Amino acid sequence: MFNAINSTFLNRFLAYFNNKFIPTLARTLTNTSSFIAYLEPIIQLFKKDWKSNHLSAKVTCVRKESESIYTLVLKPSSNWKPFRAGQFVQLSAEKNGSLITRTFSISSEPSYFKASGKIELTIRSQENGIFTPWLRSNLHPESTVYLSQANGGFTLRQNTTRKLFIAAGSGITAIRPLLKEYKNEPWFKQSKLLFYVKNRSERLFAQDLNMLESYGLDYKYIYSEESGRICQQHLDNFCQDISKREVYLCGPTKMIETTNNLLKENLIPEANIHFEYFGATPINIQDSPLDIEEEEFIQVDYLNSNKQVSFKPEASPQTLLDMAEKEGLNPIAGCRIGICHQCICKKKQGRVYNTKTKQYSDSGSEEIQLCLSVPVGHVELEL
Amino acid sequence: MQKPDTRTLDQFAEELDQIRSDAMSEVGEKDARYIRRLIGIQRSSEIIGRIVMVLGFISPALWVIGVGLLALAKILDNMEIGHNVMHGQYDWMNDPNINSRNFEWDIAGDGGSWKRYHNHEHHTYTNVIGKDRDFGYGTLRLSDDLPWKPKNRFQFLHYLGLSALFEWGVAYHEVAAERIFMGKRREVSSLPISRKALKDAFFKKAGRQIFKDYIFFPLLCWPVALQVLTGNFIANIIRNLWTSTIIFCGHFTEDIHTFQPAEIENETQGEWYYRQILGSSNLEGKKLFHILTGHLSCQTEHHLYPDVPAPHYPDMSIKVQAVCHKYGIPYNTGSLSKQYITVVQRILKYSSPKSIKA
Repeated sequence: MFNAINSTFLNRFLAYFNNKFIPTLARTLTNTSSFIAYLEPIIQLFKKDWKSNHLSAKVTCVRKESESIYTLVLKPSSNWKPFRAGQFVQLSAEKNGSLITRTFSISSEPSYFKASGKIELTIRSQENGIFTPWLRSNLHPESTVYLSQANGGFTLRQNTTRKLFIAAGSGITAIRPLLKEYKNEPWFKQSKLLFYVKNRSERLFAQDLNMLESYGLDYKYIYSEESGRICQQHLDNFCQDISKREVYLCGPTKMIETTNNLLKENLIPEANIHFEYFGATPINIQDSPLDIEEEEFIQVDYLNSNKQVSFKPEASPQTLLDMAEKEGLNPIAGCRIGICHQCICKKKQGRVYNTKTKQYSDSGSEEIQLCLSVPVGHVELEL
Repeated sequence: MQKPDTRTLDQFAEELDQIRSDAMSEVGEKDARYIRRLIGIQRSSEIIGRIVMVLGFISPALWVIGVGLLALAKILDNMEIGHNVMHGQYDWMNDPNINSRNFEWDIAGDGGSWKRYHNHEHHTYTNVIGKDRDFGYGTLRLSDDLPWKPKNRFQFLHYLGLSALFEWGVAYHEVAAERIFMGKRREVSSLPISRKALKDAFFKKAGRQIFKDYIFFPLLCWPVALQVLTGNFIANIIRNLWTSTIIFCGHFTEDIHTFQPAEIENETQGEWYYRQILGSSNLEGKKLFHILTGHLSCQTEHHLYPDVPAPHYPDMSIKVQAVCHKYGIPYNTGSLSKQYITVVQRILKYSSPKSIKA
């Protein structure tokens, strides 16, 4: 009893010390958020790639998968924690001095990491993207990139139910580790994979799938250029016992939505459908007004205030600052013409049009000036 | 001087815009490396300065070196780093510490408060009488736009005091404008936070700074507490004098223009640029001098392009001067000593009621 009280007291004291006292002391003595943030630029004088708040990773290989798809093989630093098959990481790299961050599924399996200390990210090079083509041509063995710890709930439920995997395009990156990691499980022999790709030249991981077939996987490529997108007929042809299966989906947002509805029509309980929306897909950044019309609806999520608005785009677009104020939120703002930088806000994802630079942003997370930004499509703000 | 017509100023603006986009296309890795390295050097200088100052009991020379290094660190932090980072010049780096939202400088004034009145009020309404409180800081009479009061007779002494305690001027600026502690409350206020939040931020930042330089570090080095306290005090004063001198040379030199609120109604981009140029003056010098001034030696370029990374200003100033020359618009530049003399003359001139409108 005495010990118990004593240890809660100690824990509370330590929590206070670490979470309150030390940061306040750092703020007071160094005017930065932590002592390590204060020392970071000094350390960087000697180790230029070192960052206090990022885990680094060394590129060991950039492997070509197809014309537009490549795999980065990375060796994370020792404090990167093990992950579960199907999870994703945030990859950051410095492009011309600017730290750019994107989310990618880990396309390799945990046992591979255990054996080699390496992970793989398989990435589609977006034709007009500002990051993915750059990564491909600028990363070399020994380049440094930065990683978050692995995250995400698209992992396998350990049970004996038969499984159907449906992947579209680079969605296979999250499914490949699930297949490879669990290939020796008893249920694996009855598992099926339906894999949508554009055409024959886009058959990603053909070798791996071939190998997995010998472990019992039944798989089929569907070429969407010939056979179209997913439909009831495809399911009927490939999988008769679909209602008895647990389904794992990965692909673009539209594909997940369509497939999810289709599966529900086939009476698969919601609890047996697993998917995760693939967040940040870099989008092209051409300066054409057509871009806005592509998106049917504009939606803004104010994450910190739990509010959400969506509407049809109008002829005279509104800035995020005006919109937020109309919503009754009170973002700090000043000059409203882009000079004072008071209305800076973190955009978690989504694209915005900057009325000053006349450019579209990429879809990743970055700081934006609300008074200059017009949302395009779906935008998430930390506001 | 006759103000050019709107069409001419539109063309003028186009050329100035071009200078901006040319400079921005060059912004990148080099700038990121520069600012990180500079912050690294500044913080090394602070740490070494504080340590060497303590060793002053071995030899007074060490104390002098320590104070010098600390003052240098404080100047770099205030000018080339703090001022420019908080203007958003490095926000594109996406660095969690080097950006206008999170950066805080080593002076008594709260960065958030400064961003509000400096970036907004001063940069938008530069030298507009009654709108830009930086013109004379509400205490000095620097043009005939303000009526003469008997207290102005002694304003040179007032100026010297303000200069030595400049960081407190920065800290108190917005609090004074909003009449937080005394005076009649402002009728029109654009304060985006509550008055209480402003007051709290003022005390919090000022308190932290006092605690750090005048309580914590002296006590930490107890047997030589007085030596550390004095050293910190002097380093702060040196920084204050330097900062204030540079800033006064940027806006209060001889040929600087002032404006009336009516003049800036419906201002076009070209007219805004024109006003920024007439309201600013430059200092000439070598690279190290520019760095120590935080490139406020290129005050004109800073006012035209407040969010372009400052190390680009010297190159831009050559182009801006050429454009100004082409349009017959006066461009104010000179050496530190030459410009500073005219600042002193201005302060003295308007301390007496007899001055004639320039």
